[in-house]
Amino acid sequence: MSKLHKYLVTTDADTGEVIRVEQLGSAGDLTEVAPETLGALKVAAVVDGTVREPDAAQAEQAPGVFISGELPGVDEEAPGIFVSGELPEVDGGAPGVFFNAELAETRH
Amino acid sequence: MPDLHPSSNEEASREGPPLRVALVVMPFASGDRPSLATGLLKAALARVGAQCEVKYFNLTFWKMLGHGRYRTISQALPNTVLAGEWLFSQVFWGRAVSDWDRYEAEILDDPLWGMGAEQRGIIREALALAPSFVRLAYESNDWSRFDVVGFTSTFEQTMASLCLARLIRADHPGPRLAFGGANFEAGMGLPYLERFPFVDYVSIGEADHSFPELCQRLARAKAEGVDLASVELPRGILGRSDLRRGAMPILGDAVPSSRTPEVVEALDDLPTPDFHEYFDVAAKIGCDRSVGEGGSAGPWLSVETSRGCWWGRKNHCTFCGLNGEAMGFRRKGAARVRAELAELEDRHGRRPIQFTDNILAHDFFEDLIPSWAAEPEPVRKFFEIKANLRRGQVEALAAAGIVQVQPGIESLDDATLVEMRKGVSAAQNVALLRWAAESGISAYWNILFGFPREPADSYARQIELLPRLSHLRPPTACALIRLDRFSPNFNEWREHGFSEIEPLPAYRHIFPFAAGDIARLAYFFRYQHPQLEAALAGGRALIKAVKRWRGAHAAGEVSRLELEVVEGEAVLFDERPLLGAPPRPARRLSAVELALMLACDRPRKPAVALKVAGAVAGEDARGELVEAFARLREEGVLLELGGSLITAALLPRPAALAELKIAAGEPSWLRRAP
Repeated sequence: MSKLHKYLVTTDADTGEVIRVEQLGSAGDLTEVAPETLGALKVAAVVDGTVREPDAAQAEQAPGVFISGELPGVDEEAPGIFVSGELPEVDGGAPGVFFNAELAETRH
Repeated sequence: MPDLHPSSNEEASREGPPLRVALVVMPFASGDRPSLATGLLKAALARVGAQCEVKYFNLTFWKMLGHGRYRTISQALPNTVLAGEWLFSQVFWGRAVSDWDRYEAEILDDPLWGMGAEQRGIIREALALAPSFVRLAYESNDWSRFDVVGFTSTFEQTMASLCLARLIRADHPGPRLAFGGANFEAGMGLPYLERFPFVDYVSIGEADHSFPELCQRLARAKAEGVDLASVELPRGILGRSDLRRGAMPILGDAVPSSRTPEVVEALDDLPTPDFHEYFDVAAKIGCDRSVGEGGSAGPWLSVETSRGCWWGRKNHCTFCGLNGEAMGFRRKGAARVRAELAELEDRHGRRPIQFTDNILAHDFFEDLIPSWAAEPEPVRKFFEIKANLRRGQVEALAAAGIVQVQPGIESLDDATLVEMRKGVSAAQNVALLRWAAESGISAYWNILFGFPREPADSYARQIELLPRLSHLRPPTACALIRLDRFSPNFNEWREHGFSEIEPLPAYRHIFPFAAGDIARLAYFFRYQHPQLEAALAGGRALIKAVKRWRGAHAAGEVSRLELEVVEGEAVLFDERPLLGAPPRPARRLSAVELALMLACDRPRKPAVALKVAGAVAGEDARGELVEAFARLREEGVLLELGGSLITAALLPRPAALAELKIAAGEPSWLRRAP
């Protein structure tokens, strides 16, 4: 049975080059792993609030995967609560990059 | 040694599977120490058989943003701009409520409540990372495996908590979402229930008993297959059912007494806090190695020996809202404190300790402090204290390892101190600062101004005084007072001369609510009063003087006013560049001068000081005494503050003083004092 691992990928905002890859733990801990780890991963990206299935090209270009768009979960009917169409300041320049990745061969 | 686990698991629910609870610590809780609130609740939940995990996501953001930047937002920026709340409100609401340009123009640039330009870039860096961080926190766990997710919020953690809670509820309707901490105390908690429909419970006071009780009731309901939303709530926990009852107080109103929280009286019965997750994560992400940078030292342990304020109970400082509705002073016994510290040291190793008490219990000078002083190497400790200590007590603190204190010094002018109801004099404050310096204690203090009945000349008096004290540690901040909820200035604003009370403008950039609703949840308020313009003018000059002092101190500029015993003689070294005069050559003090300085080691009325020193001078040397008195005052070595004299110069340790050569006829007490 495979286990889902999740990573924080930090990239250079100008070049897109991967600076650091860290595995996310359930305590919120971040453990740095070798960037090469990504080559063995199937990558799913969170884009515009939905998880997109990985494809080969995306897997190779993992550093270019960003979270953007609105966060899901806003209750539009809540009094006084409204939804903004976009997140502030999160565009191509965001240094923090997150995506899901599944290590298919890892068994626990 | 008291039993710290009197009921571990004895009260555990046997009626079904254990309740699973996550307690979440979001930015911008300090990364330098664990959360005492979640540590206590985790241990209390273990007593009732619940399984609890604490999620220190503040450390996650600490790692993403970097320690220095995180610490700046967490601890250094003025809380009047509420930067930590604002940047996560941007994640929650988007740009419709506020955006950077409006926030900067209306809040950061505000001449009274804003901040300088040099650190604004850090807020923008955190803002850029915040959405990714919220997603990261959400993705770190399968939240459906928890029955209850609790969020703690003190200072600036609320909007980050709401961001994560909203995500959890959107995908997982099962877990009950609870909020607690100082930001929800008393009536402040209700607007969150009203405005955020995913908030199921709000704890509006001390939750040591009520939250475990809630979890027990939820566990029973779960075991019996009862809808968790129908569970009757214990006192101190408000839920959506309270909204249906229409129990919605407005500003100034109280929560109905049937729903107010129980104040914990027997602190010895509380468990030892469980900090395992904090130290585990801190080690994994490296903040146990990094927090020593930038002047801090840690990570610290968070420990409480008391709650409430014994001074505030009898004379509430007018500006202080720290104790909310639980002012009554309660303390642990010395044996219990020692046992708890031993247990924490066993678990986490020997670490510096930050005591969360608002004021040190004075009777600890009788038992706890001497026992710490008797240890071969007392661990480093921080305490908040009251400034009216004696020299011997300050030395006892140092001997016990209490080498960082916040003595509650907020002014060096007696008239302002009276307005504050501080219960200390300016001379006592100076004495405390000097004794701390002599004892190797770092005393962190501030100057507040802007009280409606503050005399206009208090500013000039303090501005003249500050350069004379420039050999001591400068104030951390010098600022216009806020009106804080629960303070006498807030509760009795008319009597104290305030008008036009309204929440600080930063709240409008965080919550898209009507003004009345923001006033119900806000803690910081602004105001007007007839003397405000004059106070601001005086305050600007005072701030300038403090900045000069802080700048010189930070640059390592030598400032020295010290009496030393050199080859058996008392020698005064006086080099205080901020006085604007060239350094005075070191000079040997006469016995009369020395007697005056020693007599005024503690605040003394001039007549008393002259009488004491007069015994040295003798009747024949009355002229010498008067001359010495005038000279020391003119030099700023002896200060007259509010009718009391106090020596400004650092005095030698008793061992050094014992080496003084005493001339025939001079009293031997010159070698023993102070």
